[in-house]
Amino acid sequence: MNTPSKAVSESLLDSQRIEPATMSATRPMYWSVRREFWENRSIYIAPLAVAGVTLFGYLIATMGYAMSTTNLAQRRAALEGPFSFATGLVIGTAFIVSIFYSLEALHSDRRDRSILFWKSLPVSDLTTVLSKASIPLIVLPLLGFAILLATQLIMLLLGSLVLLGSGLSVASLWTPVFQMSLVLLYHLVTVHMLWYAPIYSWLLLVSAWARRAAFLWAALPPLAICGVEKIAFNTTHFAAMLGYRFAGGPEAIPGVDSFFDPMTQLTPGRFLSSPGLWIGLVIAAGFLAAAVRLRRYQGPI
Amino acid sequence: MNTQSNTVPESHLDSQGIAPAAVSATRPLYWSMQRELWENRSIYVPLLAVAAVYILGFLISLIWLPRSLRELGAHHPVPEPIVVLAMPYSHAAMLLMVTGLIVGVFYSLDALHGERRDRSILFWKSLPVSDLTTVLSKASIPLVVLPLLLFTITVTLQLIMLLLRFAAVTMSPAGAATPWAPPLLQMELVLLYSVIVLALWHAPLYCWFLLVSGYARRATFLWAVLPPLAVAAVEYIAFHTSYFGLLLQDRLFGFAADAFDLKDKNGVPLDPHFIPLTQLAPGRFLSSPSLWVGLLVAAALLVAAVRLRRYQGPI
Repeated sequence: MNTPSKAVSESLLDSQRIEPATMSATRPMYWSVRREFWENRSIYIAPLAVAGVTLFGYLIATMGYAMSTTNLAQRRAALEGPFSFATGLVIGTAFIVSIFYSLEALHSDRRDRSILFWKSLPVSDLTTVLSKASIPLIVLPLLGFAILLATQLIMLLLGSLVLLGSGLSVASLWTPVFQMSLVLLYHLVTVHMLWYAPIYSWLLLVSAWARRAAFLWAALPPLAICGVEKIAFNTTHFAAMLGYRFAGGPEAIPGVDSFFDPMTQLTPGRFLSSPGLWIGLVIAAGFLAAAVRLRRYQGPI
Repeated sequence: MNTQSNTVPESHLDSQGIAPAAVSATRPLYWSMQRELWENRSIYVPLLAVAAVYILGFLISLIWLPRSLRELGAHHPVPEPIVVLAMPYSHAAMLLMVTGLIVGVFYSLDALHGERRDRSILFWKSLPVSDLTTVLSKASIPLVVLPLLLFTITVTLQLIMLLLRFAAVTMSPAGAATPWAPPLLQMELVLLYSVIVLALWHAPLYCWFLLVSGYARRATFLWAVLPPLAVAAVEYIAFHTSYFGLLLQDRLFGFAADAFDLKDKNGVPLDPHFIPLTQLAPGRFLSSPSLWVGLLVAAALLVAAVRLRRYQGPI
C-alpha cells in the first residue's frame, strides 16, 4: 500500500514541478505575441480598415448601382463581382502589412531605446525573435482570412437581401464564396505561411542588423546581385530564382477549376514534395537563427 | 562734393545692413540641408553603392567585350548599333534612377517622422529655424538635391565606363575599326532633362509622403499607400469605374507621354535605350496642365506639412 501512495505523491510532485516549467516555456511566448499586438496596432487596424472600406463600397454598389439597373442579369453581376476583388484587397493589405511589420520588428525598439527595457526582462532572444516572426508567418494570414470571412458574410447578407427582393435565387451567390474561401485558406497556408517564410525571415534579419533605412538594406542587395549578374554574365539566374520565390511556387494561383472542385485540383502532395519548399524553409531557419544571434549582441542605435 | 561723399557711406552702410539679413535668410536653409545630408547618409550611400556594383559587373563583362563587338559589327546594319552601344550606359542610368526613386520615397517618409520618434525634434525646434525653413530643406532633398546628385553620379559612372571600354577596345586585336562609343554628350543632356522632368512630375508624390511623415504616429508607409488604394477600391466596387486609379497611374508614369516624343517622324515607336535630342518636347511638357495642377497640389501639401510641424511634438 505504501509504494503506490508514494508513487502517486511522487508523480503529483513531478507534475507540480513540471507544470511551472511548461508555464514558463509558453507564457513568455504568449505575452510577447500580445505585446506585438499592443505595440503595432497596424497589424489589425489596416486589414480592418480595408475591410470597412470594401463594405462601404459594396453598400454603395448594392444600394445605388445594383438597384438602379433594371436589367436583372446585370444586377446579379454587380452583386457577384466584388467578392474576388475584396479577397485580393484584404489579403494584399495583410501582405503589405507583413512586409513592413517585419522590417520594423527588430529595428524600432532599438531605435526608441526600449530594447534596454525588453532585454531586462527574463525573456530569451529566441522567444522574442520567434514571437516577432510568428506575426507575419502565422498571425497575419489567419487574421486576414478571418477578417475577410466576416466581411464576405456581411456582403453575402446584403447581396442576398437585394437578390431576394428582386426575386432571384441566392444560391449562386453563396456556393462559390464558400468554395473560394476553402481554396483561399489552402493558398494562405501553403504560399503565405510556408513558401514566403524565407522572405519574411530575411526582412527580420535585416531589421535586426540595419542601423537605418531598413527597406533599402533589404531591397538593394538582391537587386545589386541581379544587376551584377546581368551585366557581367548576361544571365538572370538569380532574378529567376527570386521571381520563382515571389510567384509562390507550385501552388501559386489555384486554377479556375479548383474553385469548383477543390478536392481534385489542389495537390498538397506535389507541394510538400517540391524541393523549393524545403530549401526555403531551411534558409528561413538559418536567417532566423542569425537574427537571434544578432539580437543578442545589438544594443540601441 | 559734399552730397556725393555723403551718399557713398550711406550706400555702404545700407549694403552692410542688408548683408546680415540676406545671410540669415539663406544660411538656416543651407545648414538645414547640410544637416539632412549628415543625418541621412542613405541619401547618397545607396547611389554610390549601386554605381560601384555596376562598375564591378561592367569590368567582368569587358572580358568578352571584343568578341561581342565583332559580332555586333558583323550582324547589324549601320544605324542600329547606336541603340545596342548605348544600352549599358542607359541601363546604368535607369538603375540609378530607380534607386534614386526608392531613396527619395523612403527619405520623405522618414523625414519628419524620424526626428519626432527619436525626440530630437525638441532640440531642433529650440533652434531659431522656422518650420517653413525646416520643411523646405527636407522637401528640397528629393526635389533638388537627389536629382542633381543622381545626375552627377550617373555622368561620372558613364565616363568611367567609357574610359574602361576605350582601354579594352584599344587593347583588343580588332582595334578601333569597330564602333564602340555611343554619342555620350547627347545622352547626358537627355539625362539632365529627364531628371528635371521626373522631379517636377513626381513633386506632389514626394510632398504627400512628407505630409504623411509629419502626420502619422507609426507605420508611415501604410498611411501613405493605403488611403489612395482605398479610394480607388471604393470607386471600383461602388461604381465600376477607375478614374482615381488612372489618375494615380498618370501621376506615376504620365511624364513619358508629355515630355518625350515617343514615336519618330515615321510613327515608329522609339527604343527607350537611346532617345535623341530631337525627340524631347519641353514646350509640350511645360504647357501641360497636369504638370501645373500637380505643382499646385504639391505646394498645398507642403503648406499643410509646415502647419502640422508647428503643432506636432515627439511621439
